[in-house]
Amino acid sequence: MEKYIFLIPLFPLLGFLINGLFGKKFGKGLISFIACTTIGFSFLVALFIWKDLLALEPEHRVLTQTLWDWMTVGSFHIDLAFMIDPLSMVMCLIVTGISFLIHIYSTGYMWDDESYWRYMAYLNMFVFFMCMLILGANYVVMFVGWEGVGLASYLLIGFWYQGYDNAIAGKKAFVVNRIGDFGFVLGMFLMFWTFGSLSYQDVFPKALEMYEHGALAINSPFMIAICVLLFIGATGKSAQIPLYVWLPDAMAGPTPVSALIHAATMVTAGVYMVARTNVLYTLAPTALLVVSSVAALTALFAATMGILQNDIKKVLAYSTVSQLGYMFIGVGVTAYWAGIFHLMTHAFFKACLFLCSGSVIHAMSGDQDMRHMGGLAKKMPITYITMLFATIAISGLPPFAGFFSKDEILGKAFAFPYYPMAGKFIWLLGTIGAGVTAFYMFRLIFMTFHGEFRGTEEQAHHVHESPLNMTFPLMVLATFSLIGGWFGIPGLIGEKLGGLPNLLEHFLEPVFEHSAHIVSSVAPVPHVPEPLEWSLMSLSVIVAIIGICLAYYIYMVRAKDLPEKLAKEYAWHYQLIYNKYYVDEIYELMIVQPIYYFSVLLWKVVDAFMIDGIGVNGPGWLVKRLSAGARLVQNGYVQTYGTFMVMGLVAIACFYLYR
Amino acid sequence: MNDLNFSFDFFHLWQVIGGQLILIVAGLILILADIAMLKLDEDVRSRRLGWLTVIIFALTAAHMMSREWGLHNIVFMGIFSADKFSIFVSIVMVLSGLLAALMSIGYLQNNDVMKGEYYILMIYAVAGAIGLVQSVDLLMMFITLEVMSLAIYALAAFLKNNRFSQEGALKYFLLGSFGSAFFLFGVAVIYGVTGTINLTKIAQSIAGGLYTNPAILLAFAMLSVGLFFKMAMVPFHMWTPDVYEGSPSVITGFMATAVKAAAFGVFVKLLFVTFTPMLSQSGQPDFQNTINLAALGAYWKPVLWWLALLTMFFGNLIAVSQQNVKRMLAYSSIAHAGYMAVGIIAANGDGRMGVLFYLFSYTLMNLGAFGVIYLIDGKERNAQTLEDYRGLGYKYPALGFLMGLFLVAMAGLPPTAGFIAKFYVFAAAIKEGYFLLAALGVMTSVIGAYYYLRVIYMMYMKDEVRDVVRGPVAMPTVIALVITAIGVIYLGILPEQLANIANAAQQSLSMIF
Repeated sequence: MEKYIFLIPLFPLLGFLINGLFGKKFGKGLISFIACTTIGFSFLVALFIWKDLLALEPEHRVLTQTLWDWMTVGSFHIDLAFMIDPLSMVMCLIVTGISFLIHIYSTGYMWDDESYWRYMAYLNMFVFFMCMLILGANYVVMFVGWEGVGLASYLLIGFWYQGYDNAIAGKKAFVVNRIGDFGFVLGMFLMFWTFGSLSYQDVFPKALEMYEHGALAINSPFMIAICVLLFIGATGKSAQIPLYVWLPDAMAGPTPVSALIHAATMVTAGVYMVARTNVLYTLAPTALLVVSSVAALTALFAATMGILQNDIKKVLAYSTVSQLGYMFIGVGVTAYWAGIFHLMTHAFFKACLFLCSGSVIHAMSGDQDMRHMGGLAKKMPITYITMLFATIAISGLPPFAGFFSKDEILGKAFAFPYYPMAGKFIWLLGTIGAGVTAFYMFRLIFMTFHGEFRGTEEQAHHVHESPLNMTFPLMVLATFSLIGGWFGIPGLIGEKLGGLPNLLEHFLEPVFEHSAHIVSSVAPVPHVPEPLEWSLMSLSVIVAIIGICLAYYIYMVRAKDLPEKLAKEYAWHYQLIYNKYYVDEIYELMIVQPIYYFSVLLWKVVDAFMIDGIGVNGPGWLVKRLSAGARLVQNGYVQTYGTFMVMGLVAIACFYLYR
Repeated sequence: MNDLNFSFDFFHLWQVIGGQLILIVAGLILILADIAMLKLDEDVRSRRLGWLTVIIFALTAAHMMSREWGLHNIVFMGIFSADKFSIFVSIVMVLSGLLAALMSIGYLQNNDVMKGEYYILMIYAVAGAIGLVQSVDLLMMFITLEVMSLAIYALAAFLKNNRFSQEGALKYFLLGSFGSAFFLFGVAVIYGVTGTINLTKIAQSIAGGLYTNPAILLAFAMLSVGLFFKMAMVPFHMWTPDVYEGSPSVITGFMATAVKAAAFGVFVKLLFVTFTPMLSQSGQPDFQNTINLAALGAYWKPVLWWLALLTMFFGNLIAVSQQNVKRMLAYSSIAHAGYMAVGIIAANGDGRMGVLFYLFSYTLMNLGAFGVIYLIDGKERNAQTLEDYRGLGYKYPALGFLMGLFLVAMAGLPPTAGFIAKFYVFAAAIKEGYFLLAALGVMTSVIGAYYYLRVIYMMYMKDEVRDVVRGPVAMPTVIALVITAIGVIYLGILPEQLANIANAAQQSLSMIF
């Protein structure tokens, strides 16, 4: 089946080319048809390949396809090659499946936009690059996809480029990502330097072999450097501290874009990359500690920033940053499959949340401020119920998807084999974060769907349930927000329920088995007794319920007075959180402004005066002067011309004779 | 050497100078055809003659490529040789004639000068030029040089009612006589000292020790100056701007390419056959001591070094302050002569190959540019200044694009033939250790980029101030422009093929006779 892998990225590429080149002349129906069917075909191909992959023995589940030799420079050799193993299979199904749903949703949400064709073309382009990213068989192809999705993201954030802020947000995303990419590229260089290849199927076996032969120690400086550099790339793409700042601003793009790119797929690329590189990370425990610590801080920090946001999409944006933190905790504590599991469930419920918020914004005629909403539940029942499903899922209440994946991550963090103490601390941060998550998510639900409508008359009149092409994806995603977690039921619960298997962990096992071996040989996984495990699980549920109750009390029972009272009493704290800890302002002051003024200096003094003035215009001026002088010799008189000829001859003859 | 027993044989003659014979006979037939068509309208007659000329040039080129190219250095009666080098240069000149004839059909209509002798002069100019590069005999060189020059003088003066055309042609004629006189003097002195006018025999004679003879050196200087004049090397270039500006645009393009090719071809031949021969490789007994001749390099190389530098520098420099596009291109053609001279100074295979490649690609881009110039002109001197080119890129997108392409090629930017050509000659010079010359040459070409790109700037970034209306575009001109444009890009991307042919051509120089 491997010979069909290339079809998965090819279909979106075709869609992009057709819509991008000719879309302007097409009707909207045709554009939608092309855009949606191409992604649909990709999804079908992915399903077929999945079926075939399952038919193989678990240890043989690697399909590769080399299209052509891409570049060869000396010993540097790169193929344009694709690889499907269980990990990329899971990613591929998530990406194509959710993209398909969001394309359908977009046909409703973006229908009235005059640049509909451009939107659809960009969206297809995004899916193409995302498929390249996850299907590439080496880091270079992955990097092409990595940059490509960055481009698509930039184009779509600034899709309504007429708005100044949108263009600025797009630029910010691009620049911040560039900083991360710098690390990623350096990591690739170092990897090539160490292993002489960038292909997955060369690098990982070689690393294992070197490890087994003692040529590569655990925690060798090279491994740490490679892994940390790659993780810097991931902090850019996946919005972790300190490079998360672009993601909230990226909400300037159309809401389906936020759902697809800035929640479900692109931002998880960093998690995928770390999971893909699991062998190297496992060999560098210090890098893992960096990853999990940064992730835990991000998870809590971003969650607190979500508490006081009033823009419905901003809440979800900070929530995404926070949830990405959980994924990185998972891969950071060597529980790679748990990270991917949370990636999957998050893709379902966060896409659902964003699309629901889109549905709400659609109904509110573009207003995103939750202070103007309220009581929408009655008017938009489908949106309400689907969003409630997703909210319960993200809050981590059983039996919804988020419970299983988040709990798996926190449980594994508690038992972090390399650094047990740090693991406990990470667990603590994560658990607090889970409570905060439940709080701000239910705050969103209460402010939006309950209470009284606080918007204008006109808006109240206009509020309506969205059409079927928008609600259908919501229903599908809400369903998966419920059942998505059942693919990874932890052994503890599975036993009680009569031996339910952990499907996802088993499916992903071949990808991570080498890492598991290394971990168990270096630092045995601490045994967590069963009662403790049960109590950890219950604790996270209890924390979530506390968060929900608090939100209910503040924003439902005493919605009239308490939020304002708290804001006044804790003015300083309120302002700090409301302004997102002033991180943007600090970056502006510490980094952006100095660079800006330094560049102005370079521009005015070095470039404009020295290079342009003296270096470039100087010779130009000189040439013009000389030219004006020299042309005077050409005075039009034949005598002059003849004289010059004779003088030339005499000069040459003199040289010859008296040399 | 083997063929120095002069014997006449018509087959032999046809083999060696078939191309010339075709042109000479065709020229005569064309005169008769012109008379035969006297009853027809002037423009119909002119158009038919033009197409006939195109066919004649095509036939000539076909004959040379198919028959003469395969010959191995045959010499006819010690006068003409058919070697790959001469044939390559001849084909460049025939190509130039062919493209110019195609363009002339439209040009003559636009300017109301539909006289039959135009094409006949053009044919004889090419015939003379071919004779010039095929000669291995100084006297024949002089005669063919004059055949070519006289036809060109007449063509330069072809716009009878145009003061500039008349003035330029007269200057050209006067100064050209000067140049020819120098050349003839040189021939006479050589004959006086060595007693022969055959290139190889002169080489044999001076190889015996005459190479430091002052008379030989003086004669060498004079011969060179005669050719430098035609090559438009500084300070023998001064006729060029006036003549190029005044002549009919298509003829300017023709002169700048065909005459330059002939002068360069014969100069290279003279240098590397007679004065610094490569014959030591041919292992012929009479040339055991040609090593002596290499000493002559110490004489001409410094001279050519300075001339090339001055030519590149002043050509580019003065072009900067020109307001008339034709006159600007005249200076630019002087600069290009300087670049080609760099390839000669390298005095290696790469350099000679580079010169040949340069001649070929320069023919394409220069004629292309003059084709566009005449179209924009409408009628001669109607719209030739930089100001007239403002905004034309949007008004006439196709012409603007073509002009931009040819100018970019002349500025030597990739992916055009101009870049490859410059690269070859400079690379050859660097290979021989002429770093300074190459560096200075590249710097002057930066000056060149300024005035070439200024035209493009005018065309695309300035608004029109004067309503310039281009003349009618004739189909043959379109064909010629398409050929040149495709050629300029093709050679820029895939130069290997032509480079290999040019290399084979320059190698034949080491085996003549």
